[in-house]
Amino acid sequence: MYKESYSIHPVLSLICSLLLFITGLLFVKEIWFCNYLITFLILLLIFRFEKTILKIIPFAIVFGAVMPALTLINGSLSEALYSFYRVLVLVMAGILSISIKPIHLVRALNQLHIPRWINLGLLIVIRFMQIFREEMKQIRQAIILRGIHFFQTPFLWGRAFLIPLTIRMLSISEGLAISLETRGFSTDSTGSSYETVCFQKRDSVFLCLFLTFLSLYTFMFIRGL
Amino acid sequence: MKKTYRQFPVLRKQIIIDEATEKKKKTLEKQVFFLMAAIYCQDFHEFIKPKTAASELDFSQEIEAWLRRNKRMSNYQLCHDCYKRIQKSFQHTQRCPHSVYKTFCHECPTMCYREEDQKNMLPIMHYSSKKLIKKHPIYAFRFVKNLLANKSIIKKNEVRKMKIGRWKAFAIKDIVFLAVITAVTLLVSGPVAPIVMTVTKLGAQAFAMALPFALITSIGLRKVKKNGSLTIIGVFSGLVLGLMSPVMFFNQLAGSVLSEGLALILFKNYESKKAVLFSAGLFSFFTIPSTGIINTLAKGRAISEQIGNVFTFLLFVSGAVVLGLIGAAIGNKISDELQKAGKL
Repeated sequence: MYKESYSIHPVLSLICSLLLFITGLLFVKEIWFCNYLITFLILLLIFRFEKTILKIIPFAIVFGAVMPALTLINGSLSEALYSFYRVLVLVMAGILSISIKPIHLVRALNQLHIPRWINLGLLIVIRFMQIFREEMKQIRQAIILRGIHFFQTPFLWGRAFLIPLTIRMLSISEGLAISLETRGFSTDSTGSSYETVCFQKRDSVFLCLFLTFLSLYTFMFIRGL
Repeated sequence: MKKTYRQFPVLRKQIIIDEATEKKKKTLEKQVFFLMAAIYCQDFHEFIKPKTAASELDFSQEIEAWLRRNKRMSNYQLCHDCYKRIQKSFQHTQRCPHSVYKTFCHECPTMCYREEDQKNMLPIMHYSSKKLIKKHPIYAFRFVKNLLANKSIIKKNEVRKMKIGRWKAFAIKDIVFLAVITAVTLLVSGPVAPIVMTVTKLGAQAFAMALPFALITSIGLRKVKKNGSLTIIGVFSGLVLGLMSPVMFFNQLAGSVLSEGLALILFKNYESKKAVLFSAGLFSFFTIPSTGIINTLAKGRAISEQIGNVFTFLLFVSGAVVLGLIGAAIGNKISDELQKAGKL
């Protein structure tokens, strides 16, 4: 069996992301919240997440600006700051989960004996979002070519957009289903994987450090330090 | 006018057939038909000659053994035509795939007798059925007992089919279509999802996501009309959104389960358009309670704090319901058009 390399074990990444998100939201109003963020940012940098961090920075800037601005309409300055912190928490949690390659996640879930339809469905959703983004772009271009504009004739635009989109959905899903069936995929059978995703030393070190820091901040939160 | 009979269902693939039981039933059927034909021949072909004693005629092993054991049966005299009819009937019985659960041959969904053969056989059945009770009551009783057992098998299977009909198993093509639907739903709601993900006002997320979610999911439910479809969409969208914000997984799951559960309680399945409208339309609305609970547990914010201005909250909630129902209605309309065109 072939063992493939990856950044952090996908399931571990997911669990850590969840923990980071929940604790981050809990600690938002603490004085040491910035330290909390910096600590985990350093941890992520040590474990070579810099590419994902760079990718997510534009999102952090845009939503980090939009969210506090929206909060400022009704709320105070401190509420806007907390809103900005929440975006940062989302970004931090996102770094871990976005870095997971879909195929690694599916393989790891397969090894955990998660029903195959869940793994397969998850993989299709992630993979086909890109395909349908292109499809939607093509449909929009075709609509523009025919001189239909959303603001002039919204109903016609809706029809011209949704019906071809649905037809594409049907044809793509049918083709995909047939190809899956011919490859022996079914909802009731259990599959085997050629490549395995194993828990490595690197994952253990990450887990130890992550839990240590998290316990430290949780202790500080409980004690009200 | 030709009389039509209620046909028994073909259950060969649905039930486990025991070879010994099948053989036993086939033998009983042959024995009963032999007796009926013999009675008929005795009463109607009295003057037809030559006649041969049953014991001297060629039959299958089990019938010959049965005739040897029963002197009364082996003494029956059969004319050539009746012997041919019996042989023909035995051939049909031997090849019959429905012996384990069949009622009568004239109720068979895959009639194997030719029209002229049926005409020859039916008078025998009509005449001898009553005579059989008088002359061979044990065989008549065994025949009725077998008939009742077969009817019970059919009934049991119908009940099972009804139960399965409500909860049909998902095929790979259903899962693929629901996954594709989820991908498109997430893509259509993509521009608003990240904005509302961190909004602290209760109901804002449901309001923003209501229209795209209801529209696309209703098309999905019209195509895959199986109970549990919306929950599957909820699981898939929750898993993907959960990668961005873990709370969204619970939100989507709770919303889909609540919406689908209520729709199935009211409508039992997705056969009616109203069920699709209800289930897809209120999907986003039902995420509100779980958002409230999760915000309370994870962020430690009281419900009143999350609601904030009551008027705004009511606006968000009613907006989520109205937009959801509008989206589901549009989705239903598109599905109708596609159905007319034979695409769905």
